[in-house]
Amino acid sequence: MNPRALIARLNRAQRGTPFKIAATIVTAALCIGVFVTLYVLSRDARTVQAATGAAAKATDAGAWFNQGPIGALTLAFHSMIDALRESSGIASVAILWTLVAVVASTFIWLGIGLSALAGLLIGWGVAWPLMLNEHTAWVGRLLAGAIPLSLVFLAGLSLLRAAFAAPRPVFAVARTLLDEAVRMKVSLVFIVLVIFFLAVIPGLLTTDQPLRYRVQQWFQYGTGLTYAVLAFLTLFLATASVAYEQRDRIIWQTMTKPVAPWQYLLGKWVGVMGLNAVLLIVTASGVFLFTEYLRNQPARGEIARNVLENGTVTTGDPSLMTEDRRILETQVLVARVAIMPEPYQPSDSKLDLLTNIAVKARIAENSTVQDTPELRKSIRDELVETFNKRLTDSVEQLMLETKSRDPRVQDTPELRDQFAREVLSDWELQYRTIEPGVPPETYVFQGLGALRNDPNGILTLRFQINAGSNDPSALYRIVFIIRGVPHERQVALKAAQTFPISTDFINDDGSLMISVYNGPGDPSSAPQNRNAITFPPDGLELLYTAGGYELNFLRVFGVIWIKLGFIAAVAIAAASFLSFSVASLVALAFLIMAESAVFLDDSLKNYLQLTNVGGGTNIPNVIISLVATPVAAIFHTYAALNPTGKLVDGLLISWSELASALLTIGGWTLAALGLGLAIFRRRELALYSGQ
Amino acid sequence: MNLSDRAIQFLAAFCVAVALLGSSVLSTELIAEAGKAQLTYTDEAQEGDPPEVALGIAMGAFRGLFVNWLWVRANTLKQDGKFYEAIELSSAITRLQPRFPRVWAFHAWNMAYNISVATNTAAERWEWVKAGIELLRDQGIPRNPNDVLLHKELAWIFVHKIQGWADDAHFYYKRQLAREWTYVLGTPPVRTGVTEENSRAYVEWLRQVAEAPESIDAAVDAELRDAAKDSNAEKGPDGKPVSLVRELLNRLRDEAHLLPNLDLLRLIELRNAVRLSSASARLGMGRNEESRNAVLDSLLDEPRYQAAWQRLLPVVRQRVIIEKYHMEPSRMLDYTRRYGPLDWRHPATHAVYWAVRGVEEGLQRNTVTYFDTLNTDRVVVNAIQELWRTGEIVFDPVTDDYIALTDFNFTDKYNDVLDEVRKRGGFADSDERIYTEYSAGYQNFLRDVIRVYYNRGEIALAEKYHEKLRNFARINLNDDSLMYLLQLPLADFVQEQMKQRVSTPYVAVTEIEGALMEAFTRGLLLRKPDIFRRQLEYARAVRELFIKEQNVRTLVDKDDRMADYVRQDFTTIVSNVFVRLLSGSAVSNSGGGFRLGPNQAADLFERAPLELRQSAYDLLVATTSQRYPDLPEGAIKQLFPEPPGMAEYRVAHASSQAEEERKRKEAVEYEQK
Repeated sequence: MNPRALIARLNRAQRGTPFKIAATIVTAALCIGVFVTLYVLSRDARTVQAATGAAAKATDAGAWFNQGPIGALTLAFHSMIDALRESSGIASVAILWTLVAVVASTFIWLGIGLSALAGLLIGWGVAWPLMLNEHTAWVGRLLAGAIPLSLVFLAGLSLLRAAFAAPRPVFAVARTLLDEAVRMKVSLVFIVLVIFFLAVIPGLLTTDQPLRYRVQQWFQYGTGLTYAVLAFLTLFLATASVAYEQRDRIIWQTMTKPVAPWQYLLGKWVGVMGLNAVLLIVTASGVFLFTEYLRNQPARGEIARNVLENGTVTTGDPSLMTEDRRILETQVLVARVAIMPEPYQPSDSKLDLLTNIAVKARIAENSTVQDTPELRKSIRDELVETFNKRLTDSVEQLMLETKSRDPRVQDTPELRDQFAREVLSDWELQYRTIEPGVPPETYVFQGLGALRNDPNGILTLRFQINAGSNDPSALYRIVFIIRGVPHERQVALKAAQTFPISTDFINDDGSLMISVYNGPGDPSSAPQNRNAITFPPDGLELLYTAGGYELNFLRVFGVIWIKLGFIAAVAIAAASFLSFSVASLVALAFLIMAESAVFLDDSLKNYLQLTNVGGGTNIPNVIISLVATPVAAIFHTYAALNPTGKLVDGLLISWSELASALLTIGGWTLAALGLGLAIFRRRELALYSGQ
Repeated sequence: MNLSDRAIQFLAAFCVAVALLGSSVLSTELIAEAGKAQLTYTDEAQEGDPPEVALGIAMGAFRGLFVNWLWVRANTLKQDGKFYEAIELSSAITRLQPRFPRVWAFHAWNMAYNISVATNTAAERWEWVKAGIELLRDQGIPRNPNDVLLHKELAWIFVHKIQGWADDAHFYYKRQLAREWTYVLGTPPVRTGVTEENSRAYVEWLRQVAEAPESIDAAVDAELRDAAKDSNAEKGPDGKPVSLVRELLNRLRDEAHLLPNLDLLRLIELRNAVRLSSASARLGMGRNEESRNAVLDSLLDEPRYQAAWQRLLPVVRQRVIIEKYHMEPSRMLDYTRRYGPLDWRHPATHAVYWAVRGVEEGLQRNTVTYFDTLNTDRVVVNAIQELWRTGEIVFDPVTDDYIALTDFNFTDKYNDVLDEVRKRGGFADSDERIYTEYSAGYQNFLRDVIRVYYNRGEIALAEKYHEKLRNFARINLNDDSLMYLLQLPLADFVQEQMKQRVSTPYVAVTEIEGALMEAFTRGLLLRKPDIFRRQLEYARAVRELFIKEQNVRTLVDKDDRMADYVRQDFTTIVSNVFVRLLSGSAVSNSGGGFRLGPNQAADLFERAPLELRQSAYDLLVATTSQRYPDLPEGAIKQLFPEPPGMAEYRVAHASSQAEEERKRKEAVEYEQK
């Protein structure tokens, strides 16, 4: 049989139902079999020992066998055996093999099972020799990574086409857009770029860096670049598709059929978002699996995951872990919530706390005193009254000083409000400022009651101090005293640091009090700090774990998809009445405005002076303010979401945040599409040629 | 196309041609002018250009925007304490702006100062400090070889970050640097008490490396040339001389699996250190598996290869210095000749090297002014002063024992260096100024020298420098307190200086602890009983003077706790400092370096007077067990055997403590009444 006939026969076979059923059963059995075998091997101490040493051996083995895909697979199997020793690892490996089974079955049922397998083998066959030469190794690695990613993307695209097969105008338009996406150079470039980045970045993560940094970089580049490339893909694909169809009069063929304008625009949006969903699933799977792979690598000071150089197993006990592993497991691969200390101005929770303290003090003073709601109310009122009186006195004093300097000043409620704000701001600053050598200042964090009984709970204090002119070579010593236990830290100025705190320190009422002393704990060990230290407004925060990173990871990609939805809507709306170049520019402007809203907001607050030194109005700055302030306000929610940043820092994106993002950004998306529709309906498509 | 279009095209083409011609003529002129005036960033413009520079150029106008964005990101991440991208960002920015020295300086500083402190283990901190050093030394300076700023920054990291004591991990840094350079150059020659002899020995020692053949092939050629002249040389079957260096290299590669690099030097130096260290005999300390190579050991012992090793090792050391450390052995030799016995295990020596190199290279550029060199010269002066204070290093790579003592070889060198840099000082150090930093620095230095010599009992030398200070031509005549001091005879001068120094509690503590450390290390460990006695006396005198001064002070001092520390019983202070030194937790605030390992600690304990051993013993055992919970039982007692008469001492000590307590209570009650 000649090769061509053999290929034709195999092609026919892979399209047949018997083959599909048999291949699916074999695939499922293989995946389950491999998983079970790996699990059994992971229980055998000798295999684990072999797996532990495998990582080191695989990298320095000179054999050609170890440097190609087989070597990579061997290493991956050893990593999986290592991971399966822990419950979290079992879930990851199970997810991995489920994914493999699902993707393989997808290919099989699309009738391209053998073609995909052949593509994979041929691709890896080409990559292998390339990986053996140091000059072409990077091309080989790129190819070896890009081939499975491309295959998964193609499978996803085929599934999506099948999903859009329903005989509805919206789906028909969406399906056409998918075809366009693969055909148009502008979108193909970005699709290739996503796959390229994802395949290349792992090779850039060198083992000479701590493991936690590698994972954070992977999150940053893997997720951040994915979002950036998909944002541009969305923008250009959506504008090109709508604008070119009008310019080239292809739209006539669509709009002369029973397709309403809203169905046309919605179809375009659904198509773009479907493509985004496929690409996000591909990238999210890639990012997740490689993160799990990295997690199973030895951290600094380990010979294998959770095994120290002296052989101690540290699984589940952060106190035994190396610093690198501990930070990775408790600060990066988690979903944490950040809380700030109570402000100087008494809030409800602070008043509760102060009332509690006062009640206890009174009972200690006089045992006949009863803890009643009336007593609590009177103490609370007293506290509020004292604070208000102090504030009123300060405002009065300020008013007198101002009037003595300039008798023309009018005593108005607005001026008093302004003075009150200034006084409060001044007090807040004083509260966050500690002179060297004076008694410690105490800060209170509330709402930690749920963590009190968590034996594995860890709090992380993140702090940053400023002092004097922030001498870059200065090192300050500060002592954090928590329930009488000192934690001394050496700190560079204007650079944030963290340290862990046990949940045992949380008080019965769910509060945590941290006193800060400006100076060395042992005066004979170092000289006193030179200047007063100040915590900037966000310079002291407490972080605690609120869940694992896996679901957070899912929500992060959910937020990215929602954000892409808005960009797609703006691009479609703009292209409904503008040419491609102008529409792209408009959509790009929206994207930049939306992404930089937080930066813009900070810049406006910190640097924009509306008056000149002499007292006159700074007209250019006023104009900037008039334009930039609404932009910053409108897009603040969009920019503040920052899914990649939160993933990198191990911060929680809650379901409520996701829902809120869906509502807010979803609302703008609808508004943008609505605006586009309103314009599009009034357009005379027959006359417009785009020229 | 109509005529007017054609005319416009011709006009445009003409303009392009004129512009191109003008540009090529002018750019040639400009480059020639810049070259003549040495205005270019580097005189090796092509050498340092990595392919990324081409990428940067290809980005055109977007490069600026992209670099700005990277800068903003680097700064924001730094402020937020997020360092995971620090290396990548610095690498990207420096690739795009390799000729902008501030970029290199910023990133090196960020790594060495900000990121290092944010980590909690000494090993991880050192990695960041080293990353900062390597960024400047291995990449920044080679691409900007005559930029003064980069040299100054690198020198400053050595003299301030590593040699300074502000960083909690500074001892670790010092030991790591000492370890690294013990491998690179080997242990330096043993010092004598004569500066000229020491300098000569160091020059000869370094000359072997600096003047070694430039490659292994050259070493083999030299060996064969010498063998051809030597009738006793080993011959091959063909009657031609055999290269034993080549044979040794082949055996190292094939049998020991070693290449001629730093790893080979490491294994050799560790082997030498174990042989010389008494710790291996006493504590059974030796090399771990990673540091042992049986084939290498046998090759080192083989008499046939002794001459080959002598030829090979200097070449390997030279190549490592040039290729890995990007330093020039000939320059190292030159600076050793000029400045004295520089110990390359000392951070200040590296500071001297890079700062002096920066000034020398920078001065070849016409654009460099004295402002550029002034701060770098100050680093040189600072480094020489550090070498005087702590330049004599005793380091054992097996036990990690590290002691840095005053190096009197640099006493006179300080003045020579001042004369050298003063010439470049411009107005900052001109004769027109009454106060100049260099002169003020020299006066303070001489005051320290006099005090140290006097306390060591070297009165004649103290007298010599006292005279020198009195006759110093550039003395600040407007400084009344100095004028008053200079009128005093030597003994009163020292006493008065002590008074001035101990007026602040922190300085008093530093002074007392510094003297005690000197007493224990130089006096006991290096067996100089006179120094031990005198330093102990000095510490006692400082304490008494401080208490006397404090009693007449009325101001509220923030350092009350430190004052309390000094007010403790003197024996208690002495035992506490002794225990801290022995248990490996000593910190010298005076900037010296003491971190004893178990071997030297055991030696020191053995040599201490009985009373001191008795008063320190219980605390020492408790502290050491707490500090090293994994130490096997009996190991502490083996290192520190219980002194005789401990039972009697304990009884006597308890009763004296009770008496003290009674007196204290009485005093409190009296005050309350």
